[in-house]
Amino acid sequence: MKGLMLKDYYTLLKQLKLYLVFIVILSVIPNTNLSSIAIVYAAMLPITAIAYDERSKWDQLAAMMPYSKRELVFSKYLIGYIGVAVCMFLSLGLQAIVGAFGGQPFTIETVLAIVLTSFAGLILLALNLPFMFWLGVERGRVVFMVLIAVTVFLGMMSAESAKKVLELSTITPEMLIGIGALAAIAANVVAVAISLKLYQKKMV
Amino acid sequence: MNAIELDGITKRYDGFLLDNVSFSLPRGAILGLVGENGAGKSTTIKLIMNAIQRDSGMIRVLGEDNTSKAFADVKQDIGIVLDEAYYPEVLNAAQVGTVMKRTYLRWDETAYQYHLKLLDIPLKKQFREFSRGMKMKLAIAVALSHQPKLLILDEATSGLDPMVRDEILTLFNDFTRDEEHSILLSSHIVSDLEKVCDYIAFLHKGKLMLCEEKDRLLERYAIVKTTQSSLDQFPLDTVISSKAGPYGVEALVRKERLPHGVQTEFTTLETIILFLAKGGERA
Repeated sequence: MKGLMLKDYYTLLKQLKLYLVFIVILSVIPNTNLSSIAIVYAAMLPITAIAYDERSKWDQLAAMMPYSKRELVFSKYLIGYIGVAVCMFLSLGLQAIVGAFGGQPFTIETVLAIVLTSFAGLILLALNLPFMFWLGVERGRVVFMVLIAVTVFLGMMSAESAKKVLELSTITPEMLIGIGALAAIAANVVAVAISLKLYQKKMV
Repeated sequence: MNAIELDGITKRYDGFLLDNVSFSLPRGAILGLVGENGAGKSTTIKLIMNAIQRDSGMIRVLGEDNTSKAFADVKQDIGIVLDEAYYPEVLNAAQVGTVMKRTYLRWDETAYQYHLKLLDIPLKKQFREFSRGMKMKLAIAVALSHQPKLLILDEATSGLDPMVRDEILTLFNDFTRDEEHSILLSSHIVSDLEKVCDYIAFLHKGKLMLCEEKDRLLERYAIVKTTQSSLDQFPLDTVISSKAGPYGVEALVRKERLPHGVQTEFTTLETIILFLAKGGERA
């Protein structure tokens, strides 16, 4: 698994550098909602890695190396998880710094919006990757475009809706985060299992 | 003891059948797998590595059933080079080495650096800028650098210039000096196989036409140039196949069934393969 992760890290290295600049810029712009774009972009990283693999037919070679099919599938999810987590913590940190220096105040709504968007990013990943394993990146990208449009829209709305939900109901921010986390975990458990089945089927 | 054993392997796809293939590669030997495009060579290699599922039959690699859990460990002992399946194109040789260090338990960095230097592979150049020959050379350097006991090479010498091919064939020969080391080498270039292989397996349209010791093969068959009427006088099963030319008929024959006194010509592996493919029968 370490070898696979390292391979994907090298594959994405150039993009990761640009991405870091991208997150910083989006986070310091005084508009919380823009962080959602960076987080959703992080959920896209595995697709880029899969695209590079497909171009060099790496899967065929990897199937003969000492990697299990589970590792080959799960490593792609892991890139997404790490990407989303790093992006979430960076956004939170940068927003807190911006708030401390007199920018947009760093409120519970800000935290909620970033955390919930991260969960949405993970759910997007869970919805999307099985299609990539099934259809390949070229055809899976169409599904991805639809999913990303929906997620970005939801992400942009999340700050407002989180505020309203908190105002109108008895749901606490902790509960909202809990529900989001559970949904993200459940979606990913199912998605990894489906992806593994699809990957095994493709290798027949 | 065999490094690879295939027994009655069958794999069916739409429009293709790998039909009841059986052969074995003894340890310490090099087996050349030859056949035309679409003959089933790559499918056979994928089946050996359990990258695809067989429909029936049995495969043992380095003594282990390749569908068993223990086969995951056996893969550590197998160096693999595939035709047109490479490392992601943005990686360079140094990064490939770092990835492989975390993939193979017995990765030997000194051996890797030695092979990179020997094969003249740049360390920092991205894979996408490599020629096909360079890509194959890097794959071969990786395959030789984790202390493998078995090399499985699919068209590893194609795309290489004759000098590099010769260099690589020498490397393969050196590798099998250790009697625990074996090589399965598939290639279109029959002359390469003739240079290094101890055994030849010939696949044609999904069927194994022959698997035999190379030297025995060359002893067993010969070319006869004669007339069609003389050829018709030969005992049954003597002629494998023949082709008519402007000066008579050229035929591949089984030496042991040939009547005394018939003049024969020495044949090459390539000629035997071509005639067998044309004859379409199992040797």
